[in-house]
Amino acid sequence: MKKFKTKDESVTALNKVSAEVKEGELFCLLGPSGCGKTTLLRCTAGLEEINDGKIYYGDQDFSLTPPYKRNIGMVFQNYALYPHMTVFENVAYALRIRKLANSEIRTKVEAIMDLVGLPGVLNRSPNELSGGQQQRVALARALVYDPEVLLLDEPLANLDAKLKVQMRSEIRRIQKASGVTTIYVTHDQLEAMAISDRLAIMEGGNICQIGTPSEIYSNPKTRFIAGFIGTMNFFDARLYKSDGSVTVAIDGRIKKASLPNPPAGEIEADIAVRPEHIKMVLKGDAPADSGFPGSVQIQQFLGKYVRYQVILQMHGREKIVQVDQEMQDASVREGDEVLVDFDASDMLIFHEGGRIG
Amino acid sequence: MDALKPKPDKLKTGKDYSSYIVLGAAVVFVAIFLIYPLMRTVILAFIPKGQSISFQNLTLRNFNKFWESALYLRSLINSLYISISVVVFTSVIGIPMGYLVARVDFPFKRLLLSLGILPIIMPAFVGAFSWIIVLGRQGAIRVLLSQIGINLPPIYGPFGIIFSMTMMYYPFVVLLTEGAFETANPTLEESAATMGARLPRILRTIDLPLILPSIGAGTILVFIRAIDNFGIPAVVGGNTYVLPTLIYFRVNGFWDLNSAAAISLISVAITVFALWVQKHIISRREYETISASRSKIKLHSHPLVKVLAAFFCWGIIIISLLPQITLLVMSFFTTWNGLWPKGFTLGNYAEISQFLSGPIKNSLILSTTASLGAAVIGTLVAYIIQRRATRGSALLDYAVMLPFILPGIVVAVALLTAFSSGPILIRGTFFILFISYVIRRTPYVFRSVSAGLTQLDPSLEEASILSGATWFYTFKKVTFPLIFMTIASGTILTFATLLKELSTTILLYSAKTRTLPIAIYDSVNDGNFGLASALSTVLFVVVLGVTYGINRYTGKSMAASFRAG
Repeated sequence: MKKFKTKDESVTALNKVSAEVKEGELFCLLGPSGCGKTTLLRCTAGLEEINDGKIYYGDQDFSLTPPYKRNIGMVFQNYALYPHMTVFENVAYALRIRKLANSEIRTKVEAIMDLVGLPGVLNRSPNELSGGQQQRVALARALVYDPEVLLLDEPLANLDAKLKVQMRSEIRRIQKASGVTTIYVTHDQLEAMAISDRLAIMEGGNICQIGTPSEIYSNPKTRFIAGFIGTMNFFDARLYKSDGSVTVAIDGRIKKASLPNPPAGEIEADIAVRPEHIKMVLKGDAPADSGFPGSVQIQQFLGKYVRYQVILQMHGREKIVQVDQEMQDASVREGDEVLVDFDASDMLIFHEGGRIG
Repeated sequence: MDALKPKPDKLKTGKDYSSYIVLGAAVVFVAIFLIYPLMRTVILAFIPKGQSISFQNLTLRNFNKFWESALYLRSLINSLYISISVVVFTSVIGIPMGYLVARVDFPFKRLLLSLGILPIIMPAFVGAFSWIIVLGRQGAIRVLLSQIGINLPPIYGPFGIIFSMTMMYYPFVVLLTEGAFETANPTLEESAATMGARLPRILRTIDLPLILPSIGAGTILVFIRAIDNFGIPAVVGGNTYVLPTLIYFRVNGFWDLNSAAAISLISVAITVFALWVQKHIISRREYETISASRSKIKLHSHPLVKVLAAFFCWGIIIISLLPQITLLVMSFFTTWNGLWPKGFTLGNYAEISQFLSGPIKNSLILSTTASLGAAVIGTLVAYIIQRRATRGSALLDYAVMLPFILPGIVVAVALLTAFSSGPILIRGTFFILFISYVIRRTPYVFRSVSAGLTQLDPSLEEASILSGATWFYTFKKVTFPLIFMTIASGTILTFATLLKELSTTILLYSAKTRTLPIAIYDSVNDGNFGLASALSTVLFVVVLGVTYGINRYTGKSMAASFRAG
């Protein structure tokens, strides 16, 4: 539906970036602040000029089209509602530019306000509305003229935690109901994972990976993504080929892995394991060599799970590992001596930032 | 639904050129009426009087006069020592007063601050002339003081100039100092106190460094006004010439634009140097002293301190308001020699009717049209520079702000050098006055609109553009309504300032374009103090009314609008 490809060397906010957004999908741009996601969004809108590269909507090249001719809807982080106009005039603004009849404007505005779930505030001033309500008005204003694409720039950043979760599902409901192709920028990985059909992870002006939330969670392509999405434990390891498989040595403990392209010699690697994949037993309950010895420092109850911070002695230094256990299995207490371990099949293996297994 | 989408054939047409057209118009105006006259002034300064502009004629002769002619050298020295004296005296009065108002609990402080701006609102030369009434040879206060054995120096000369300027400009220092002390974070002083520092040490080590930038801004403001001022030395200078009166003398007496241009350059150079000193030395380190939690500063409340502070502050205020009181009294009498005025009359006010169709009407028309002109240009240029950073906008920024540092009489000289001959011949017309007013006042509107725009989130305008609005539509429907208050208050204050304009007008008016300040100035020179007082009272009441009204309208305190300078 929509492609963008840009190369911007003067600002270097964006390097070579290429992505394709499908019609009707909710596509997230996720990355830490300063990664170029907002710049990319603003380029898509035409608010920033691109030095090089192209932006397509369908087959049409829009790269040089001025923003006011692109027919794009955008919701700004601070909503950018016009304080000198009523809610009705805010939403009707774009329709007036398109010179629709008054009756038609009223019908459309009322319909869109029903869709965003905020009827009956048309004559109020935006300043009289709560943050969540302003958010809905901003959405209505951006959707009312059937834009080709809807752009959302950190739309939930100004809401409190509880409203954030609520508006998250509201935005997805409204987006699916209107069917508008949507690009959603956020730095909050929970938000991006929860809301998007697909997402692109950005870092340092580059797109590192594009995929569905579950693909990215279980199959991160780089060490950066593995650490950025969800909680992850990293272990320093050495890796070498031995009789058909690959041997992974983590502080003296050996695990066997099978790699598509095994390394020629011995290399250093980062081993990533999710907290839910780490097994933990009390020291006396298993043979002493069946895991890394450590002691439980802190336990936190997170509803269904208990999360433990365990201190291991690795490479002569203290290393903190996060371990999740289901509530009914969680018998370990703070201060207990434990053994932790994980299966080779749960390991994600990275070399120099890239995934090798 | 297709009706909502832009027509495909329109999609590819390029940029929105409307901003370039407005930018172009602004550039043309600034080029013709500001840059060209200034360049001509610079060139004429290096050409002997009466010679044509050519490469062979270039000379430094006009500048040599500063060494050869005693009058030139004395004017330069007078300008410097008078301005520096005024800075010293306004600081000596203003800094303690600012501190006392901010930190001592004594009655009617708000009233005091509001009254404090009256001297600033008063046209400078009117203030000077009312000092003549009370401190002149037969002045009431001079007579009173000589009866108890105090003999003041003569009002005509350096004493009169320095005294008038000090009494007029000290409120700038008070307001800026008071503002700095008011907004200073009290926890800084409190933490110093908990570490065992006493008040003198706290003032020296904490407060002074923090408020130094504000004091610097206030004193430089005073210095520039003092050295640029024409009206006060013209009225009470006597034989004491300063640079602005010397320029006037060269143009009005000898039609010597070349010398006037050279003196102008020297004068501007001093101003630029003063601004440089402020920017790079005094205000080099700016501190964020505004605290997030506005815990209230504890005020001194010792009875003795309160009494002394009240006496000092109210004493100064009452002395500096003497001109206003004098004018009001004088406007009802024919003469005032000795202790009491003589010959009560309403004739002075009756005489004003003769001025209605001439100077008063001229002043109203010129001030209205010029403030609107400055508003349009200042607003558009501020918008273009802030929001559409197109190529060349930085240059336009400097160009528009340039008149900010030009003394009024220098603007007049520049316009005379450009438009007394050549293709655009507008000397003696309303138009040249209009142009001079617009050029001089645009920086003020420009600055306040720029400040308003920085506070206006650009995403409001971006939202409009994405909705399909062009640049001009966005300006009309979103930007303009939201900065209208800023523009309106800036324009009306400009109007009030222009009503009392003298230093540019004095070189540019003709018989048919006399303004109210010119009429007052002439009455003073004719010795008709009663009429001059009546006209001044009317002018003062109008300016005060407009200033007060606009502050009520925008909800600012009278003092606050002058803190920014």
